[in-house]
Amino acid sequence: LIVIRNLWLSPHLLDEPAGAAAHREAAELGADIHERILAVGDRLAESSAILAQHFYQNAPATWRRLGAEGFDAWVALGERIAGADPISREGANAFFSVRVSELGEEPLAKLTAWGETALRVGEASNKLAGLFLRNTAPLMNAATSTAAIDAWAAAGTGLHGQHGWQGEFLAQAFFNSAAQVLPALSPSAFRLWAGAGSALFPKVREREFFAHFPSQIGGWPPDDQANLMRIVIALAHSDHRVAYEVYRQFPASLAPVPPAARASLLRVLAGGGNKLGNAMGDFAPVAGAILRQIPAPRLAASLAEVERLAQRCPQAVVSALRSLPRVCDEADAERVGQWFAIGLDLVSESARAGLAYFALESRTSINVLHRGSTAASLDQSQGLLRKYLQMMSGSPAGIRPMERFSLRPEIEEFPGEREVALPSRIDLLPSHEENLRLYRLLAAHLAGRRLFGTYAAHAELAADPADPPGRALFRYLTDDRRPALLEDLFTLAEGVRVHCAMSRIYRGIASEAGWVADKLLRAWCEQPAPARSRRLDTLFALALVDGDTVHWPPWLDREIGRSLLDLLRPLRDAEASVVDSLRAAEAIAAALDRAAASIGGDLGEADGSFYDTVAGEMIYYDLYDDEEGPPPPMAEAPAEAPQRDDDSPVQPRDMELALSEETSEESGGTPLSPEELERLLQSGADLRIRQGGADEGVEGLGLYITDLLGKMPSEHLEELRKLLGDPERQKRRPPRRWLERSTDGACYWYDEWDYQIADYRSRWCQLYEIGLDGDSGEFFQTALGDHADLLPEVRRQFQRIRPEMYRTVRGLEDGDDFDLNAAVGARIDARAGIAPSNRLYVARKREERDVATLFLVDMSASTDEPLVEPAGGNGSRADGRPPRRIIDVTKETLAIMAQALEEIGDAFAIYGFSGHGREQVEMYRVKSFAESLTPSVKARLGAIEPRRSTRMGTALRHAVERMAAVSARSKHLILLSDGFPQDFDYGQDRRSNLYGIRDTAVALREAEMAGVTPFCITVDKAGHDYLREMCDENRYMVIDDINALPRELPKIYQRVVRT
Amino acid sequence: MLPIDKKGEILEAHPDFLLVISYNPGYQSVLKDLKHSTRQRFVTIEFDYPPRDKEAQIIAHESGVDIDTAMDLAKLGEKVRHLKASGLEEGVSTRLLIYAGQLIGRNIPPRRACEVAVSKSLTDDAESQRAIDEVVCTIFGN
Repeated sequence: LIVIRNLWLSPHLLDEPAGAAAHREAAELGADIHERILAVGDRLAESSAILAQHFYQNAPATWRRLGAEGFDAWVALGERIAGADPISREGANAFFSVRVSELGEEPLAKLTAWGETALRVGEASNKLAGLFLRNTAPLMNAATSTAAIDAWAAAGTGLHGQHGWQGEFLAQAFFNSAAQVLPALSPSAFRLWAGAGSALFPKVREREFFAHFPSQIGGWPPDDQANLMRIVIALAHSDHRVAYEVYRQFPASLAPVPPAARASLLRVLAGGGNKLGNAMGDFAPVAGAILRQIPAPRLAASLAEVERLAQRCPQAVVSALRSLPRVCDEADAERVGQWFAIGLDLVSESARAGLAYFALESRTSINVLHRGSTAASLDQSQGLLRKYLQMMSGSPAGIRPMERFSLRPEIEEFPGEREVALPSRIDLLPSHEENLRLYRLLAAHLAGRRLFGTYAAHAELAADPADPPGRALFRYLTDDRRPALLEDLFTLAEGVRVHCAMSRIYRGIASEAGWVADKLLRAWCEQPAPARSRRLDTLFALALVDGDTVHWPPWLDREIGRSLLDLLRPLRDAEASVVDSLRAAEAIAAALDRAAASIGGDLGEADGSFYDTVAGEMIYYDLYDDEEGPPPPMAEAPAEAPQRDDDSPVQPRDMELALSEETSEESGGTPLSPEELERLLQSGADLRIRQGGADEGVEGLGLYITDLLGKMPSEHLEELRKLLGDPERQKRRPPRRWLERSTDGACYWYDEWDYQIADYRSRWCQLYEIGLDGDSGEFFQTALGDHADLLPEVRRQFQRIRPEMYRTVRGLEDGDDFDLNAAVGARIDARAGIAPSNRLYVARKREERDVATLFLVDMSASTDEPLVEPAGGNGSRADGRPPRRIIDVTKETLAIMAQALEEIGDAFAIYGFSGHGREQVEMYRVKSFAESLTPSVKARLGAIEPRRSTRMGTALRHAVERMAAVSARSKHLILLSDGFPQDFDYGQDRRSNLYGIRDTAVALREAEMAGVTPFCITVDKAGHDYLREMCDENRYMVIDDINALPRELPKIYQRVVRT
Repeated sequence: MLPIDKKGEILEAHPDFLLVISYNPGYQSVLKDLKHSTRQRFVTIEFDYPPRDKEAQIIAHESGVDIDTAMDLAKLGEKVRHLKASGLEEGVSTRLLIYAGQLIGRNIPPRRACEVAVSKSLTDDAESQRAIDEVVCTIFGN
């Protein structure tokens, strides 16, 4: 016995402070009791010395707390645990190591319950019981209830039975996470949490899941925790990746959301179950950011609407949530209610239609949202504005929608195309009429650009003679050797010049500008620190009234503002030209750059988002990756920016925080970073220092610049002069994202018809109009050479169209010839005693030939197919050239057509189209209506090559849009294709062509309604099948032998254009 | 010399006789176009709309408005005529501008005067009317 006791009551134990203290305490209890304790220790040591040591350390304290009876019960339970088979010493160690003193009320009952629970776990697996005890032992204190421990063990044991033999591992991982999870999660959610882990297993390994407990949910109420787990479990059944993503990211994303909204959101989503779909994966990380964009007072009501929707159509819930910020932004509470109500009706008719509706993708959805809105939209006022522009400027105009509102419309790359950009929607002022007035002012400004030669400078801008007229300005402004801000500053300066020139002629403009400036400045002054584009707009509004306003923007120092206005003032002169505007913009840009450099940073390289805003790009900025950590919940956020005295210096950091409150998708801007703002303020300060007299040393720069610089302080003039004179004055800037995209050309959005929802999907397709780089013109000449026999024939045919342009007019009193029928009739009348008609003549009346035709060429990959030559050759041609492909024949045909049409003088344009997906529909401009058949057009025709897909509907819509600006009495669109409409996302089912066919059919109908007569030609022999569905029988033609196309197209043209 | 077959008479013209005809080319021309042989017996003076300053003088003279208002009206005429063939059948006549001038002379606000005398008289198309009204606003102010 002594030997055993020496084994465990070793000097090693007694030397430790805890062991020594226990030994001392035990001795103090008296020799009898001490011996009783030692006897138990000896008994335990028979199976494990360490067990006995654990026991001994806590034994005296337990005796004192529980008394003799309690002590015995404690020992008995411990021995049962230790004695289980196979022996779980680990569990017993943990059992005896718990300090009874920390257990709070009724320690024995608690210990007993714990031990009994462990024994129950042990019935499933002793190893688990050990893990359970070991992991829960540190948690055995007053805060942990018996019920929680019980629920925990039950949840863990439940896992053991799942996934066969691997259940053991699941349960082990579960119990191992006790320290972190047990105190954080509410007992009612244990089982759900375990269930989530099990549902994701084995795609997500058990360690991965149970060890990565999202700590944020610790503070959540039990229902929220349970709902999150329900969402994860439901999602795990459809896609484990989405489910795991939601599990890991959703809690963090919801951190800034007020508790009530979070609870409501989780309830909604949990109700949705596995019907939420994969959209949840994208939604989870941004959920908090999205909810934060909804004004706090409207959040609860909005979520209640979503909850109603969840009961009817869970699939649409995530879409609706994502749409909420925009919906709340564009409609008041009442209208939002109506929007949901109408959507709910729609959902019960067709789930697909409902999905598109709540994603704000269908046209109905947008219309309902905007119904009763006071916003003016381009859709509604397009015709009006077009006519206004035509009257004001004297030439027709096409209108391209611009995403964002700006008082300073974009500079056009191809002004010769007679297209202008206007915002797609204006919703800045309270009434519809006022918003429309803003449109009118913008349109007047655009007309002014035409009237006062904005695009007229060539020589000064070192224009490239190969460019279409007017492009020089765009090239100049976007050249990346020039300051990044230049384009924006130019629109500001040129805006002032054009406005003043217009005001001199039109009284209405002057008064209108005063009105607009007053309204807008008043509205904008309430914003503490607007985004950059808005900032420049504000400056422009100030310039419109030459700074004479009571609504001075708070972020703009008066003196800085005044000095900027001074720089712009010379442009108010009647003699000022676009070159002066350019120089003024350059002077300001240089001054700003100088100022930036003086505080040791490059305006450009410091922050990419600076360029984005300057270039008018939409900004993505990380809502979380914030130095300050996640923003505070809305409830705690200050409603307004902190007020400060006018005199105190502006703290950029404060401004940024205030601004990060409003991050609506539509505003498109980004708040200034503190650094940028500081820089702008600094640069302003820099300008202020420069206030002063002129310097003689700058005369070499030309009179106007001298005038301009005269407004600036003398001490910086020399530097500025150097800056202006030295082309290498700045480091080369990183290319702007916008510039990179300019190879893609201007971007347009089009709706698309979805037959399955029986509605348009709003702004569904993004089309880029791209100029083709031509070949050397070789193809065109070769094609004409190859068809040398055909061209004269076509020419003769077209000559024959001419007489057809005469029309016989009957029933004239005087004319070229008798109308025999009328003469006979008159004779009969005379004989019959009736007064005869004297309208007995006919005349041939020449009709003005006023047609415009657009040839739309399918450039899909399938046109790459080589042809089987009719002669039965081996494919390659006699002269060794590669075999002809469908596209080659099409091009040859177009070459002949172009040549012949140019000769008879009919207006025509050629565009090709292709693309890849709805966000990348490409339209290639070969020849616009404005161009004549120049060598570069011929070269571009040669450059038509097969590309990718065939999204026909969108291309047709763009072609019709292009024709809207053409003022011809009869407009035709001839579509040349080799197959049915097809794109990888043209409809949900890739194998079905129905979506594309229906959309194309609708697009063709739209064309007819817009006064453009479409005609489809296909070389696909199966064409009858789908063309019949797309258009009238007399509006299409299938050409069986593609080699006949060059001969057929002129005939078709003759027939189509004549009828 | 004008032979009248039925009567067997020959009328001789007075030495001071002068025949002046006027017609609108293009307008109802199917019925009213001259035969080429007839046409070639005339010398031709082509009247288009008068230049802006002349038209302003005419408007001022005929309606009694001051020359500045007349200038604005003439400017309006010029702008509206840009819309011919793409929205309007016919450009605005000097006559309509004079009517507008007369109304303005009687203290009718220019916007209203132009609305009743110009835009509503020119077209039934609401959009074109509205567009013309917008141009009136731009010229005369709100």
